[in-house]
Amino acid sequence: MSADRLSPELKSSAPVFAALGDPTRLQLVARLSAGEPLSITRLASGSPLTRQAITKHLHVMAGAGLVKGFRQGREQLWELNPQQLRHARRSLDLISRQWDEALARLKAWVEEG
Amino acid sequence: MTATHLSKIERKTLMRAPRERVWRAITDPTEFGKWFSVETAGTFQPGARVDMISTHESCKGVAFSITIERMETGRLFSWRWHPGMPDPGIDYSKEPTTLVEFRLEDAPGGTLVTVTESGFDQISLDRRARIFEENEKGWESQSQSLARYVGGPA
Repeated sequence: MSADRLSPELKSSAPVFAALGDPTRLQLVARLSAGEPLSITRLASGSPLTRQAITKHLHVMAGAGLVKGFRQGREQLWELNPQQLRHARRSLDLISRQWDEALARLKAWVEEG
Repeated sequence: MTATHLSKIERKTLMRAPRERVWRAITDPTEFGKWFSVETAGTFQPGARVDMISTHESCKGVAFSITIERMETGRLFSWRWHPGMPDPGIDYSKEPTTLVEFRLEDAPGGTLVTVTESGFDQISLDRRARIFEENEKGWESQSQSLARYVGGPA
């Protein structure tokens, strides 16, 4: 499971996940991005990592708001949290707008004398 | 999930004023307060934590602080802070900060001001989603007030 095997799309979005900073976690996002919630067993299949190691990564990602876990019957399933990603992106648009407005006020202030 | 800009904001603005003028406007606390819409006391110097209270109608009376990092006269002014409206439910001592940098350069007709705010990739998505939700409404009214301000007599 190396970063080389990630799709170009995921690679280009790596800065989004810089806080996660780990190819394993990116791979988990890639698997979950199909939309279907997956169990630890499914996520661990084909991976050299133990289920415990994967569970630990998932908890880190859940702490960042990137994934969420829920119980279905006896199974713990994990899914991506796309709304968080959308809102996070929009929070930057909002802060950008605040800067545009502050800079417009600064410009008016210094140009008046 | 394609945007590489998710960790950083950058804005460039040409201001028709000399570099020293812009430098004073961003580093003199009284002048800073005028355009940033805050009340603030104290001195801006590297390492100083400066408390501020918003005077903007969208969040009047809200207290926050910035910690100044670098001041290279006429060229670079930077601080760290917590983005978004302060949330009383959050222990900010454990929250990562973003870095705001003002870079000034001479340009034909005035000064090119480049502002960057970076480090959003360290802020959890959960926190960022809340920044968005808290601010969405308040900011609309602020845009309207700014339109009145810049559209008014110079």
